Formats: sequence, C-alpha cells, structure tokens
Amino acid sequence: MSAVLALQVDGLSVTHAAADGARTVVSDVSFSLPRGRILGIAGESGCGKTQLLLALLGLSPAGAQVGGSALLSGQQLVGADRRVLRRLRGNRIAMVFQDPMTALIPYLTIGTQLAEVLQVHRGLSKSQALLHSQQMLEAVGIDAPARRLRQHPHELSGGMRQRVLLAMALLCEPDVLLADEPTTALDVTVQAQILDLLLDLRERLGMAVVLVTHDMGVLAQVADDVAVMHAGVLVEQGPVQQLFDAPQSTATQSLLAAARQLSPTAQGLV
Amino acid sequence: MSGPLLLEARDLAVHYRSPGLLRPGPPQAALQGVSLLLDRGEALAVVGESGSGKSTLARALLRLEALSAGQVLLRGEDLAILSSQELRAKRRDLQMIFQDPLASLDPRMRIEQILSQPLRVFEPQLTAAARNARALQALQQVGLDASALQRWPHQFSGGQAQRIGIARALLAQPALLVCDEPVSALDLPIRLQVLQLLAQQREQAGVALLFIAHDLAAVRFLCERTLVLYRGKVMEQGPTAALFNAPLHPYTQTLLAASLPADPRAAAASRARRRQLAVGAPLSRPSASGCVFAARCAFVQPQCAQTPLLRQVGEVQVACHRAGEPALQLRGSDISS
Repeated sequence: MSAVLALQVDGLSVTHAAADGARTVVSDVSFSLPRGRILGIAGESGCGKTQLLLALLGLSPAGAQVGGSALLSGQQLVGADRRVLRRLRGNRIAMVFQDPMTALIPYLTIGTQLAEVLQVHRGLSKSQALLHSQQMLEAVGIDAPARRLRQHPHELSGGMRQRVLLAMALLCEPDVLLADEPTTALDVTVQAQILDLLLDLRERLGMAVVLVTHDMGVLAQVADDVAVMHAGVLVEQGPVQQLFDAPQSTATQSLLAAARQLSPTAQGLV
Repeated sequence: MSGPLLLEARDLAVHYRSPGLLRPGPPQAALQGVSLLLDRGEALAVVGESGSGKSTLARALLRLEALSAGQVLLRGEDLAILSSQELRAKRRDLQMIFQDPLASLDPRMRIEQILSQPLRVFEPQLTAAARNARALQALQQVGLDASALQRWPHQFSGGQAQRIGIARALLAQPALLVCDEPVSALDLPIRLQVLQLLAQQREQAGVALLFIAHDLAAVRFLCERTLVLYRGKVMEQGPTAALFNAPLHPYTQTLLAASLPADPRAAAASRARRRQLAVGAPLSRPSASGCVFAARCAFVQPQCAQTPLLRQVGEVQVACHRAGEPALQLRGSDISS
C-alpha cells in the first residue's frame, strides 16, 4: 500500500496573512493518490482549489503558513528546503496552468523553453534535450514538431500552446501531474482532444494526475475519483460514479444540479 | 405577423486584408453568404469554434464592421445607408453584452455612473433623480441591490459584473441584445443564474437575443434556433432541438461529440464517438475550393471538391452533399446516454 502511493496528503492547511488577521484558504485537506489514477478536484471559484495545488508545489504566496503533510512518493513536500523543491518541481511533480499564454515566456522559442527542463533536471546537452523535446511534442499530437521548436509562443494557437505545456510537464515523466483548469480556456473540440490525450498518456506513462476544474462534464470524462472542495475544506470524496450517483454534500449536489440543467441534451426552456 | 421583421441579414460577407505596406495580402473571407432572420422575442444562437466568424457576424450586424457584401435590415431599414447620427439613434435598439464582464466596465466609474450613461444618451430629458431611480430598478432586475450603486467595478465578482453589464444594456430598452460569449468566463452555478436572467428578460421585456457561444449546453438552455458557423460559412441552421437531437452536418456532430455529458457512464461512448469523427485537427487548412470542412471530415468523398450549397433537409438547412445519408446518421442519444 505505502509503496504505490504517488501522493499522500494529510491535514494540509494554508493560511494567508491578511490585514484583518489570518485567513485560512485550505483547511485540513487529506487524500491519497495511487500511481496511474486521476483525482478530480471540483469546486466553485475561490474555494481554494488553486491554493491547494500551489501549496503542493511549495509555491504558496510569501507570508503564507503551510501546515500538515504532503508526501510525494514518500518525500515530504511541506516545509522542504527550497533547493530540494527546485529539484522536484518540473521533475517528479509538474504543473499545467489554466492560461497557456502567460505560462510560456513570449520571447523564447518553444525549443529553448522545453530543452531547459531537461538540461536542468537531467543534465542533457542542449542538442540532446532538443531531440528529446521534439519526440515529446510528437507524443502530445503536435504536427511538424521540428518546426514548432523554432517558433515562439504567439505563433501557436491556444490548443497547441496547451499541448506544449503538457509536453513540458511530461518531459521528466513525473510521478504526479497537477493540472489547474487545463482546458477551460479552450474550444470544446480542443478541450475534448486534450482530455483524450491526457487519458492516453496516463495509460502509457502510469503517472498520477490531480485535475482541478469546476466542469462536471470534464470530471465525468476523465476522473477516477473526485473530491469536492468548498470554502477550503474537502467536503466529500469518492469514486466518480458513486459521487455522481449519490452526492452527499450540498456543495456537490449544487454543482451537479447546475451541470445537469446545463447540458446539451437537457430539456431547457425551449 | 405585423410589420417588418426585427432583424434580417441577407448574404453578409466580411473580408479582412492582411496588413502589408507595399503589397497587402489577398483579402480573406471572415464571413461569407450568411443570412438570418430574427423577430421580436426570439433567441438565435450562433455557434462554432474560435475563428469561425461568430464575433465578426455580431459586429457586422451592429455595423461595427464594414460589410463587403450583403444587407442588414433593422425593421426593414437598411443600416448601411444611415448617417452616423441616425445610426446612433438606432443603436438604442441594438445593445451588446461582452465576454469579459470586467473589461467591459470602465474601472474609473462608479456603478451609478456606468448605469446612468445609456440614460444620458438616449433619454436626455430625465432628471438626475429619475435616472437614479431607473438605474436602481435595473440593478434590482438583475438581482443586485442599492449598495452596488456607489461601488467600483473591481469590487464585484465576474458574475456580478456580468449582471451589471446586462443591467446597462437593458436600460436602453433594446429590441435586440447581442450576447458575445456572455457566460463562458463564469463558473457553472453563476453561468446558470445569468442564463436564467437572460431568459427572464426575454420573456418579460420581449427582447430578442442573438447568442454567440461555443458552449452548446448554454445554447440548448436559451435558444430555440441555432446557426452553426465554420470558417465564416453556415454549415447548418434550424431549430435547436432538431439540430442537437439529430445533427446532420459532420461539423455539428463534431461539436456535439466534444460536448462532455456530466455522466461518467456516458464517458466511454462519448470518447468512442469522437474517435469515429476525428480526422483532421481543428486547424486543418481547407482546400482552395470545395467544402471548407472537407479537410476535417470523416465522411469526405470526391464530390466534396464541389462547394456544397445550403439546402433544406427535414427541419433544417444544411451545407453538406451527404447530409441525410444513413452512413452519417447520428442521434443525440448516441452521445449522451
């Protein structure tokens, strides 16, 4: 049991310093994630989903107090030394952000940004790193990958940029991939492609994924397990089918009710 | 039916020329041969991926974009021949709400000022007290209260800011509200509330809606008719229920298959359907002539080198040579249940 957990989070809390005293944005969150499984975290904006992911990466804002425990394949992340975290980030635990434009550096080529990950974490030469990056771009379904390496972010569409970020996150074959609303900014057709790709890659690489979203359709499509967050607390968690069939908390019920009323096959007002 | 239709667009075309100082590029069609009708109190959806020409269509209808061909008639009057002064008066009838609710509110104006602006322009005879009363009434209509009047835009959440945008548009008492992706930036529960608000305004004030979206769920909720655009051309149009239950055009089928049902049991079937339909990437370039969708189409045949014309098949109009053939048939229930 203990050998296969990619991520084990126990009583994780994040408290921000505010003008009127401290504000707890993540409160006593616990979950465990075996290798090869996808955990969806659902909740409305402001419920603390993103703060939870940032805490796992050691990227909480300055002055924030992070308590509890988060083990990445046995390695403690909470309170870990900055140098240790820097070695782990992008390597054993990687993140894909919501907005693929602001997550890429506009004046560097795609190739330079991808290769850097391997140069830093794997000590590869730039040419070796570029070759490996090209293969990864191909793996995430980008055509003409050699040409893309020489292009800048603005020359790619939103869906293609999100694929580049996914490729970047996967370069070191991390144990855990964190994805924060990775498809919210994309067209529905591109969203479906990226999610299908995520499922394929999970199968091939066996990585564990934490996917944060407010879209119950996305969770129904890809998640094995779902945790619902409300006001910084995980109010409910369980296998996806069980949660959709018999939601216990009002937060889950309201998310599901809205999703079912807003469905392309629902009987709307018309 | 009494009097002319509220809005009629005939054969609209918009071309953009790629910039170049000495040798400007050839004009690119952003919109081609689009016709639509919209009467009082109706709701028409325009759907398609980014780059399909949805926003260009909205801008062309409001004369914010120069037409290279076609006509827009508002109550039978051609908007193109109006002077700018006459056009401004007509714009009262044509209000717009935008995708990014915060970017569409001036950050240096209090909500009171933002809401009194349309009244100053369209009803200059009103006293300050009357304007305030109307602004308050509009706020209450969208579910906010008087405390909002003295606050600034940044003090509101996205959903609240979108309500303020809607209140501002409604203060002009428009006949047509053009909504460009009004809920795509909002969380699901808030999205539902804003859609319910639009539906209610339509019912109570009889305002017609032109609703631009890539989210088919919102369309199903709000609009009885739908027009599907791809690369500036109409692929399919007709009653929303007919289009969603039995999409005829492979592009409409692709959009529906990408719309994820909130039901884990339906996930595998949804994925299988996408695999069946997926051929080209969304960016596949169309061939120079023929069907613009051919490069992405799973059902392409030699005849697709000829440009398909819009034709009536059952309840809908569709631009596909093969629409209606059994091989293409897909029922909504195959994807969603």
